[in-house]
Amino acid sequence: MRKFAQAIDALNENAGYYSAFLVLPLLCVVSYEVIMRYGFNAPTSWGFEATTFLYGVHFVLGLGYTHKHNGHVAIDVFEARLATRTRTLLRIAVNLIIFIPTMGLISIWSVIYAGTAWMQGELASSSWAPPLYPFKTLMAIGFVLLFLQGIAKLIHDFHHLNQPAFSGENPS
Amino acid sequence: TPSFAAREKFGADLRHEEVKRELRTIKPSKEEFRWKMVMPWTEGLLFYDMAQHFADTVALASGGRLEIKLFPAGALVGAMESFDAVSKGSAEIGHDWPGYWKGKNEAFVAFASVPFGLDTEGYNIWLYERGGLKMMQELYGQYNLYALPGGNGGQEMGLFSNKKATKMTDFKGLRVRTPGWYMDIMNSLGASVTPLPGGEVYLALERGVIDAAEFSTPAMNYPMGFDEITKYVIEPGVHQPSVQCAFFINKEAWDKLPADLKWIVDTAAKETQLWSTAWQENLNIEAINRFKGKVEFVRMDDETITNFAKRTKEYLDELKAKYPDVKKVLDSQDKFRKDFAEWREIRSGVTPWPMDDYIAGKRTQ
Amino acid sequence: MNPELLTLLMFLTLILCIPLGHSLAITLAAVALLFGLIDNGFNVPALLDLFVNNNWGTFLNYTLVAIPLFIFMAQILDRSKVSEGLFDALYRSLGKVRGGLGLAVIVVSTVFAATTGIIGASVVAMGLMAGPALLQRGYDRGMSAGIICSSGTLGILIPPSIMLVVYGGLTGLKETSVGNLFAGAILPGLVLSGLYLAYVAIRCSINPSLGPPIPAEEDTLTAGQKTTMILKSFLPPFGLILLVMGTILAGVATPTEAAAMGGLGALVLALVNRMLTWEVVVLSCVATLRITCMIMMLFVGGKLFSVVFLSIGGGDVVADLLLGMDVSPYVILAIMMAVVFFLGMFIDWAAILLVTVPIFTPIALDLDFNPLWFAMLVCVNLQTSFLTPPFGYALFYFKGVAPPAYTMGDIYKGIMPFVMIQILGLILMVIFPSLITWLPSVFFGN
Ligand code: NA
Ligand code: NA
Repeated sequence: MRKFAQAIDALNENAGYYSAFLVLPLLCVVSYEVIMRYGFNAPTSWGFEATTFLYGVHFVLGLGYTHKHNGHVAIDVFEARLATRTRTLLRIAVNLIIFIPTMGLISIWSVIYAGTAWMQGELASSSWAPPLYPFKTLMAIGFVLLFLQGIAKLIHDFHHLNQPAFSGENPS
Repeated sequence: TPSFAAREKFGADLRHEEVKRELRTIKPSKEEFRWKMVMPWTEGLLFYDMAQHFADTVALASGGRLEIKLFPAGALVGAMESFDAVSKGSAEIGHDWPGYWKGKNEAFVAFASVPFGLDTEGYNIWLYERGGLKMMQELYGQYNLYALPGGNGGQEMGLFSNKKATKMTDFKGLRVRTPGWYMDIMNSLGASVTPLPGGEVYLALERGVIDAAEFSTPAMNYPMGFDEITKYVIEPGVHQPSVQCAFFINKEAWDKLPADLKWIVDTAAKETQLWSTAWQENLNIEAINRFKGKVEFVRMDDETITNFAKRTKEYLDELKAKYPDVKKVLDSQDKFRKDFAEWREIRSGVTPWPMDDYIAGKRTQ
Repeated sequence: MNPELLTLLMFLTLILCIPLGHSLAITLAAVALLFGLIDNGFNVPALLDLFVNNNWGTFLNYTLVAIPLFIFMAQILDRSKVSEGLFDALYRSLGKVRGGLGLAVIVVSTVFAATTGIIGASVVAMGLMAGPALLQRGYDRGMSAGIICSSGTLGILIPPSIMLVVYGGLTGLKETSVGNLFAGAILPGLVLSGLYLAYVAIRCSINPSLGPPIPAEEDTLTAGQKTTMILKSFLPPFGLILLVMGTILAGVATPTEAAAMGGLGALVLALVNRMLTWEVVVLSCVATLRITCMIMMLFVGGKLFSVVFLSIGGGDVVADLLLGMDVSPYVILAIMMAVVFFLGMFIDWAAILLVTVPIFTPIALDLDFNPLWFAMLVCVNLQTSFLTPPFGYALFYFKGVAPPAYTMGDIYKGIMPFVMIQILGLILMVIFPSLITWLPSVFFGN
């Protein structure tokens, strides 16, 4: 179990690290579009959509990474006052009640949503008309990665609960 | 010699037989329903009022047994997500301009507006009497939806533009915002079309990101304020001789309705179709009056319009070759137009308004 | 269950779940899941289809593309030491004035606010630079904390601003397009900055012990040297402001495009300052991703919450309640503002926007309020939320980087006058709506 959790940690660490660089092509595509339009009076037919796709993929692949680094803003001042063991127990309970069902269901339906787009061969309703299914698939992957990170946190918390030298610190 | 009485009965209402059967079983229902309606419109758009009109009619005619609550774009789902939301049953009904679903199937555009295609009268005849509605229901049916015509706003305006484009060469490099098939046609004629979402159009036009944009009918356009930031309107609006909307209902939700409510929904949709045109065209009078001081109406020259028409025909032929669904629908519309053309020609020339112009010899309509 | 009860329970559940310490975004989504299911008779597929559908809408939201770009720009700027040069120049020039150093902090923060879209950067930067400097000069700890936190949060209000981008992305109204919001926020931001300056100048001239001038022996530069320093240090940030706000207001680009231009500009500045290393790019990219994901996840969760809330008729319940009262529209406005202020004491600005805007905007429209004016009141109010105890993020950021001499008590005490100034600013904007609407009408002519 511990191995599995570590594998997810590594997976999200990589997904986040690489998707972080997508802000650079995003910057380039938007700038290119501006330059083509004002410099050459020749706007692209794809710049507008390529921009939204890049932005979407950028953030969705980083959701799990951000969760791993406790980057999703939370009000944790009450929790911080608890003893470490109680805090870990609370974290496990909250994870099981709030996170797992919500993100589990959203992940499953994101996968179904992508599957439907594949079956319909859905294209964007624009002149460029790129296929939408690859992007719906990436969205599904992003939410699954976030869900997996929640599982990894759960495993880490259980592991620490059973450690003799219990520190209560989340390794991430 | 054949007498008048010997002639077979001509043109009876075919629905009557169906109604006779239905009347043997139909009962007033008691069950109450609350539906959610999603749409690509925000509350500021007159399309929203069309949807509201339909919901009002249904509520009144059913004595409140079927209440439809409207959710403007973004409240329940985003504008472009309304189709999937109803298809999957997250909402029971939606209102649309079918061309938005081009990416699902190109044929949807044919039920919305075709460049140089059907006008309001044409859509009404083709939909209700020439099998158009059946084809529409087949297409929506593939996505678990039951569809009904949902209002027609009439002829659209041309492009609001900061460049006076009347000749073919003027359109080279013109930066335009327009959706649907006309976008491809304009692109292939040398314009550069930017597919901006509706909410961004005003700012883009105002800031010079684009030169020209079309949105809809005069009345629909008025609240958008395009006249404040452009100098010309390039007429005629060949891209949309009318704007046909639709209601689309989740199949399970539709099947759950008792027969009397189904008939109420069906009739309310027709009433909306009738009312929307009258309401829009009447509003257009005032809208055009208000536009006149602010923008200059210019006309593309005949050669340019002919070129647009030629390119449109080529484009539509390409589409038909590529998509069997498009071919089936457009062939049906073309057949109707051909069949109707003769009577349309024969009857023409009696309605140039006002009367004084007619007496003075004006014979344009 | 009737909509009134369900609405109430939904809010109560949210308030009870927030202190459990789990991610706000996911807590919002979880509450939405629970009440969405109660409302639709536990039809799991229908609700989840709706959720995923909405997530896809967020995924494709062109307006929000500006968010990572503006954050990236702030990250690069933060690492290229532009604000340090500016602070140094003003510090040496204004030092002799009573409270002069404090005034310098406010001016630098205001300029910096006009180049970045997030608040973390300015509060942290000023906390690190000015926090020790003010302490060393014998400034009152509360006063200095108040100055840094309040002027540091101007970044979220003065454009470019992530908050305004999110607001524009939420409403879809022409009046509250991101361009209009940007133009509308300039004067309110400057008014607040002016009020801080006036407050600090007046308080310190009455009581110099709050902000003493620097000793004469440190004032070694000639007037000419000072002027050159100030001019030179002002150039880079003003170039960037011109690039970003200029392109939007002068008719060249949409806010998203301006954000990209700003990002490029920041990279150039970093290059010129010899700060552009691969490490800086990597750190900036990773930090951008984390902040973007935090905001986008809140957008996802907040959207689901508001969708379910509106779907069960919660919007109507609140609207009926407020509009049903037989009082002046301004009383209803005051109630809405009080709600935003109260929420701002506890939860994050993005969550507040996502929960309240869909409910309040129709009410504001119903009361014939100018949507842009209303939007700006909400945004000024939300800037305040960074400052209000118990959970004022600016206060925590400051505490995190300031010298240990600043206690949380100093900070809470010091921020109070500035919160009063925020409320005063808000009242001024209610009395003089043209503070908000005049500039957009100049630039966008409506
Ligand atoms: Na800013
Ligand atoms: Na606060």
